[in-house]
Amino acid sequence: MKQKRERLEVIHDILKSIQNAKSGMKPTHIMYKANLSHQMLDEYLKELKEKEFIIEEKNGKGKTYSLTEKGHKYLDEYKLIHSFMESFGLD
Amino acid sequence: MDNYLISAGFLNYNFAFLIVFVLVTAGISFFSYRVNKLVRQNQLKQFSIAFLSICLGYVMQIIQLMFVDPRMMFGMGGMRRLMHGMISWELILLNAHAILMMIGLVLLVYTTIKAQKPRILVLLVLITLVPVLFTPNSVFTFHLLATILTLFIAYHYYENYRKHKQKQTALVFLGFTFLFFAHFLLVFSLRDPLSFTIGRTLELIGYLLLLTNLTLVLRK
Repeated sequence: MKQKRERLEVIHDILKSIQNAKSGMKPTHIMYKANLSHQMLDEYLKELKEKEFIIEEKNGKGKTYSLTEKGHKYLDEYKLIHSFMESFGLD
Repeated sequence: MDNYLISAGFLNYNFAFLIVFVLVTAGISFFSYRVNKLVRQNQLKQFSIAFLSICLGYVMQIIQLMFVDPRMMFGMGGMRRLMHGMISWELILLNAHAILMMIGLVLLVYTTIKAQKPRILVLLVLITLVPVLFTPNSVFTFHLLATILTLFIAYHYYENYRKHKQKQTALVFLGFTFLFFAHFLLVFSLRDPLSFTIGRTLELIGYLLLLTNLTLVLRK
């Protein structure tokens, strides 16, 4: 059986799905792409906004999310971050 | 506070080992700080401060060896003879080393138990620092407590290795296991210079294993 995804991996999946979208991404699409429940998605999006990994934009069709520079940097350095935190048991 | 019993032939090696300890712990602290700037996680911040504190603890020992210890071979220890009242400096530096190391190790334990309650951290710091500072045999007490703390940390990394069976998690587990045995042997270093030599060598192996892990991380 596949192990439960770790927090860092979930954040990576959310950011990756937003990055793959050409313009901002709607929360329902993120939820589908990152395979998350509605409640979990809300919690993660709140955290990612606070950490300035994503920005929320509101238009006539609702909310969309796009990556900030910090979000891109996280994706670039994900392997390194993941490896450091896993080896030192920090997640 | 008593001082370590070091064999004359090992004094310069001891100095070189301390430089390695400072570099490795500073490297881990800096890298942890860098990752924390991106991830902003309390655990990472504490981990970074813990290694910084350990690093500064070793810096205190280097300063003591360079400027206070008359046994050092390369001259600067001779300053002791020139400066009046240097014994008190030796005491201050030994205590500063013990305090900083103890804070670092306690923070590491606090990080591994993921308590996130500052009161527990304060309690842990107090119950480890008070015996170190107020018992006549402080070096002995310091290493005895450090042995218990590193055993706890090594066990955490054993669990982490069981969870993620990889080369890197094994390196960190082995690294802290060597540090545990090092502190255990250093408990006897007040009476036996061989314990000091073996203890310090095990400590070096421990930090080199942690450095190997850090190098593997940076290669990714």
